[in-house]
Amino acid sequence: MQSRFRLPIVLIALAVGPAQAQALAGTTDGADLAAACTGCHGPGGHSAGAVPDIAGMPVAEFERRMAAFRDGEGTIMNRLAPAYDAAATAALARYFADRPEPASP
Amino acid sequence: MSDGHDARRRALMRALAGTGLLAAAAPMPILGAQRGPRIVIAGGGFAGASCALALRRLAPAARVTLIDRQREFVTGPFCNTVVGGLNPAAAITQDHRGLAAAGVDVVHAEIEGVDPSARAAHLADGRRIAGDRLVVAPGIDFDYDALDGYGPEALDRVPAAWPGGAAALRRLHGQLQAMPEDGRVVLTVPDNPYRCPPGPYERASLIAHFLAEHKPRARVLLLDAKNHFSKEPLFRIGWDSRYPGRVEWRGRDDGARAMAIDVAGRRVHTVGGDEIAADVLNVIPPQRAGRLARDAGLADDAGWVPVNVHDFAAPGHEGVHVLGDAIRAEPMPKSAYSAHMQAQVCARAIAQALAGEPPGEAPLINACYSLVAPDYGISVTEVYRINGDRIAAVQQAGGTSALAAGPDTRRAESEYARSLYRNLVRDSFGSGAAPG
Ligand SMILES: Cc1cc2nc3c(=O)[nH]c(=O)nc-3n(C[C@H](O)[C@H](O)[C@H](O)COP(=O)(O)OP(=O)(O)OC[C@H]3O[C@@H](n4cnc5c(N)ncnc54)[C@H](O)[C@@H]3O)c2cc1C
Ligand code: HEC
Repeated sequence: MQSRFRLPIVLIALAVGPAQAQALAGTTDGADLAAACTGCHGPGGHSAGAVPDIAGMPVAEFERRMAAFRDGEGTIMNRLAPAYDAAATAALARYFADRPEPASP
Repeated sequence: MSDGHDARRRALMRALAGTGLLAAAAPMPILGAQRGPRIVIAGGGFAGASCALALRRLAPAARVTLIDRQREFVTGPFCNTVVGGLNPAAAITQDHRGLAAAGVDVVHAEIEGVDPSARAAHLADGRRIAGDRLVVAPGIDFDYDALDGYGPEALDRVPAAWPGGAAALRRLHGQLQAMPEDGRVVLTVPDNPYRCPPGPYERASLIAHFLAEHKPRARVLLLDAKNHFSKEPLFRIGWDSRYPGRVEWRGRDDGARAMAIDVAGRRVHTVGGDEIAADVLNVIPPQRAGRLARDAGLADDAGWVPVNVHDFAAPGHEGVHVLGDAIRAEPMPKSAYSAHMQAQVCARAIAQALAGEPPGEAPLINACYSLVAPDYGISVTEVYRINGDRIAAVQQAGGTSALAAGPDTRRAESEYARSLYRNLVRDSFGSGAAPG
């Protein structure tokens, strides 16, 4: 489990009190973050059809693509990527890079 | 836990104890596994199915039981393509076999009621299924009281088809085929909140598409209880370019809200005093949470269920969660994508609570594509964060497709809409049929 990433964040949050805790409450658990993406990209990022398959995409390429979307590229990713900061994007990149390549259809 | 299965297990234990076989057989891993936490899910649409599938992944030691009356589930998403004659109902008919393959106990039965204090579902056949957690995901019911003259007995002649099953969708399409060449299709649209905010306008679009091909002189009229609607500028651009003069919209300020329906005469009486005759009349009634949630006392006076947005728990009902169209999750719309998203958050929260792990909070997404035409897609999406006890849209993200986009983008988005359908169904039901 990746709770070793989450735990310090919770502790900091408790230490600084509820008001600031809000800003720090974001998780860097790749699976939790990815749950918002898989409705479109498919289970584990294995897509059926036109939405790109992102399972097994190398981390560097994933981060490059997300940066391009933040700069306005894409039909819909340009409206989603700006909500994800560097830490969240890195966690997502690791999560999807770790999914195995899809079996050929 | 006193459902048939456990009763049988106890009977078996008694029998074994009498023969002395119990000691010889111990330890019994299968019985042991059943002593793990049990999660009972009432309703197996997008919300309930997604939650069941996610729980199998995130809490593999838990026993997950999903109950739904329907063996076959015709989806809201893409049901307008069936109304418009682009797809057969079979292409959007899903089932629970993928869930069963993933280890979910699937029970097909009518649920008479749920008991939040016992976290139990009472089935019409007399069975009672209780768990350590109860997830209630019954979707919506129509609020017939809100529309004079319209009721369940009217559905044959004046369908709602929201989505209402394969027969209702086919009936509405059949009425379009049978209507006069220069006829008028009228849709009445309720005020917010209701299931799928852009749905009525996608439906008007795909009806117009059918008429343009088969009844070139026929038209579509929307009678809306609202002054503005989802993706309005994009729909208007699409209607102007693809169906000029064919789609007319009247809103609240035009007095267009439907007040009463004359079913026999296929007429709508509007708040503004107009009496509007239709050749095909599609009434989308006002809605509220599914009966299971309301009867159990989970809903507010307006008929929707308030929830704790961190884990979609029903406040004041320990161990009970409510998901999907039945809940108040504003500003998230009532969509299959939202239902699936909420189910992921709820399943994660349940798994973390069972494991004694601290909760982690991730952004939520909703995304809804609509087809203006088979090769013309538009979309709206939003990213949300939990802000205190509310869901809040992230300022720097979200929005609709570009108003100025060209035909290549519209075509690409129509392909993405079809792909999203397949992926969302796979991530919710574990497998499924796909529309063209
Ligand atoms: C025209 C139209 C177009 C749409 N298009 C889209 C789209 O493009 N994208 C999108 O994201 N969403 C779309 N939707 C919305 C989507 O259909 C709903 O938001 C989604 O189905 C909500 O999921 P749910 O699980 O809350 O409810 P449902 O999917 O309705 O599931 C509820 C389940 O509970 C079961 N149930 C209820 N009561 C009982 C009982 N007493 N006993 C046993 N079982 C019971 C029902 O059988 C049902 O299977 C559309 C809807 C419509 C009508
Ligand atoms: C509404 C559907 C939808 C959602 C939700 C969505 N995506 Fe995408 N994604 C797309 C589409 C469509 C594209 C193609 C680019 C475009 O048109 O925006 C894409 C492209 C991508 C790509 C580039 C793939 C390639 O091969 O170039 C990455 C990486 C990606 N998405 C990551 C994500 C992540 C991470 C999330 C969740 C935070 C996410 N997507 C959520 C639809 C979606």
